[in-house]
Amino acid sequence: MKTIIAVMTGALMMNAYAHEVTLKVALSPAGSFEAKSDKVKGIVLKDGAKFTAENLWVKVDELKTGIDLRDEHFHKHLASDKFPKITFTQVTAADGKGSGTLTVDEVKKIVPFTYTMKTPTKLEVTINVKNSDFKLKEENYMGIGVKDDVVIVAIVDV
Amino acid sequence: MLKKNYLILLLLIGAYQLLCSRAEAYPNFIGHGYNSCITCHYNPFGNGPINDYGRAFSATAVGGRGFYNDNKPEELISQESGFFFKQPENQHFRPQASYRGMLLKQNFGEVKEKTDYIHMQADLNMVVKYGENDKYIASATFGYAPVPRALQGTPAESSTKKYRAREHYVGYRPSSTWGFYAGLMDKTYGIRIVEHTSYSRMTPQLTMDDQSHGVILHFNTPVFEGGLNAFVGNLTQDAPLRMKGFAGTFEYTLLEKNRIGFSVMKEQNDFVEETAYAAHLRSGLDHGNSIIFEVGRVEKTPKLLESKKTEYYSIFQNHIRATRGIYLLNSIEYYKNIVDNSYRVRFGPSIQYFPMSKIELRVDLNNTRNYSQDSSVKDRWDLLAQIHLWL
Repeated sequence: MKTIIAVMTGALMMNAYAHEVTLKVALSPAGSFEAKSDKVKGIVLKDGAKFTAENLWVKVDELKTGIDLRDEHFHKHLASDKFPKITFTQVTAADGKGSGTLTVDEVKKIVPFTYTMKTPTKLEVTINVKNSDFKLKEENYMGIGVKDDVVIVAIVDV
Repeated sequence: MLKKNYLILLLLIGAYQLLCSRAEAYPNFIGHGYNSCITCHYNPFGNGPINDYGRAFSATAVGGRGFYNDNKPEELISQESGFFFKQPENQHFRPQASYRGMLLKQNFGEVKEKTDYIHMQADLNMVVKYGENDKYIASATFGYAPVPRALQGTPAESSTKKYRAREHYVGYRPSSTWGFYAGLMDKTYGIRIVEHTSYSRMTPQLTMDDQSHGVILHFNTPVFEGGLNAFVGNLTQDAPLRMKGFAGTFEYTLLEKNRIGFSVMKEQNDFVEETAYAAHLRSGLDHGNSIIFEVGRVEKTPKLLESKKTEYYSIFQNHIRATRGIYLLNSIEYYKNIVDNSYRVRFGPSIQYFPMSKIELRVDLNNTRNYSQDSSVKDRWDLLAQIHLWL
């Protein structure tokens, strides 16, 4: 029995570390960048056609943009020293759509999302959010600004 | 007399084409997520001086950090990317100086190998900007123009100007979507790649000194970007030589990091009429890698001779970010002249090394093959080693 529990716990732990997330950020007047992490943690459960997750989260410092200085600015913008995690809680989904509570810098907002089944065990989730909804200040570095709309795409193992 | 002028014009065009690249535009950086040139350049179609963000990007993302102390903050490297290694102290003036030189070994490794060093560029530039989001800008670049090699040692050499205005224009951007520009600028056509001697630049005659006075309307959204350009030729040229006409280039964003586009240009002077069309693709891959492809057709109709020349060209180039500061390129180019059915293929690898901010080193090894029904020409290897410094 202990062996079965250990194996199941191990399987769940592996599942908990398998998700990926990409934040697609548009720049003004032109351009874009992506902040990515493959270290999204949490467990997504499937019950028939319904999916639930109690708590998914990623460390802000583990979101990487491909440029060290931009990483510094990005993490600072999200105040990662004070608010080290972005969380997505109370997630429910069925029939290609769902909702959950996204928390950024301790600002909570219920956001809707859509999803598609990429494989029988992988969901691709798309969430459209606005920086302003989370009271994030407008950012501008050397004349190039960040647009308000951000698209979050997550690949989630179930 | 007119025929003589036409021959002189052809000679001048050919001579310019023998000169090599003046590289300032890097459309390959779509691999870093920068679909549009305007993120890093004052000119919305690239080339010319880079803006503050472009300088910072160049220093902290493109340039290596092997020559910096490990403890030096990226923010400091960014700040030192300004003119003379200083953060700009005012909002309105942005001077820039730039030098490019190239060691060219033609017929590399052959008995008839020939080595030249060419000062391709020594420019001074000033950008004046004003208003929110640089709503009003003016840019002027003045610089050294090497005497075309075909004219070197000829009587025409002494009368050839060795300095020239590369560009001077004013711009007005009422919003991030629209921009209006007027002055001496490069024409809006095709992918403005670094290599001015590529067939995609030489065939439609858009090389290092082919700027024209005119106006440009620029439209830019995340999905669509375009430019319309009406021009009257370079007003410093003799009036009969000025190429007048219009050009336009349009790009559509596909799957976020890919741009497909097409271009058209129609121009003429007293001696020749030219019509050019092109289609292109720029595709950004992950981790700063990219590919570009352009294919085009150019029709040149002399006004004084009973002949018509139709040419085709294409270029494929990949740009691989080996590590920060080092890019590997592979280029394949094709050119075909329909009149005599001859064609050329040029290919070869290149390495681009940005050891630190404000320095670019580049080595290209090109193989050129000529195919003609009338003559047989041996394949040729050329080695090009370039240095680019800017302040």
